[in-house]
Amino acid sequence: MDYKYIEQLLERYWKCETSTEEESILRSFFYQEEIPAHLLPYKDLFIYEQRAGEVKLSDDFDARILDKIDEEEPIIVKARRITMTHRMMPLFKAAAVVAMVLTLGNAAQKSLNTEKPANGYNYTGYKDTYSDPTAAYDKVEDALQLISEGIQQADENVAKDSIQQQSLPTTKDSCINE
Amino acid sequence: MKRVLCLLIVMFSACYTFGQNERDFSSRFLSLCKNDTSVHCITISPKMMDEILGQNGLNKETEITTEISKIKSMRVLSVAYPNSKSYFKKTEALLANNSERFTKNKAYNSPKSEGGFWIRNDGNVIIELVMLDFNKHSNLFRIVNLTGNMDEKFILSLSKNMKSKKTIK
Repeated sequence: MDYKYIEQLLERYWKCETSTEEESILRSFFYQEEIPAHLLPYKDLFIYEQRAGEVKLSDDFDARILDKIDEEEPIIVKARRITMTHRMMPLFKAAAVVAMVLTLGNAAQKSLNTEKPANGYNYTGYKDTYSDPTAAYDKVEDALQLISEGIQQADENVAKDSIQQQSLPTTKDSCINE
Repeated sequence: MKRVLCLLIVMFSACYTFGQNERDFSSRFLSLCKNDTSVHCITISPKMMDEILGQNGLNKETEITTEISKIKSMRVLSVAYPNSKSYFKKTEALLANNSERFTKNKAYNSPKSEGGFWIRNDGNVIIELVMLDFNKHSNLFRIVNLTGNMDEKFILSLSKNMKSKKTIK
């Protein structure tokens, strides 16, 4: 049997040059039972539509699906008690985020704005007792006077102690001599 | 992982924030006796110290400007009878407990008064000076807290010059 016409059609089919009539000729050819061996690999390509059309649901399909649905256990919805803490959790999370942002913001602001003095102290909490520099000066003078007196007393105490310590061995020596 | 990261961020920022706020002794003392009305505080801030030095009427030769120029801030805390003695002892103990921060410099004890000096150094510079004074006659306890860039020379000049300057004035 000469299959040249079919082979030509196939070649044109691969090049997408076949018309719908020619494609239907190809489909009806491959639907035959006897097909030469060298054309057999292409059979499935042309008969899949017809085969797919033949696939149908069985008559008892609906009944079987319904039986399956009936067999499944009913879904038991369990009631879960939600505590106040659980309920407020999103609020806590939001509060934590706000606190973090504020802390970071505060830290950033302090690092940018605060002039840290050379000696390492931060005087932002200092509120002057006096607004008049003259009154403030008097207080500073009084305080320095107090410090001065304290230093002088401390020095006197040290001097007295050293004199006493020097005099102690002398007394002991004199006792021994006696 | 998220929690650990958040915790680290919070810890870091908290440390950073607190690190910025190094407080002097009087501030710490005041935070301990916040609600006690018997404690009185006089504060002279660095800004006021600058204003004092910038006064037009100040005689630069006779006044204590050299000493003041080395002081950044001053706080004088006073506690009257009956709490004075107990506060004096408490403060002494507090300073002794903070021996890593403050070193005892001088002490005195006379029939009139009792007290001592504690200093905080940064190298050779005295950045903080705390004086405790308990007056036995008036039962008045005072803390004088100075911060600034002081040195031993400053203390020496205070002990020598204050009396003469006060007399000149």
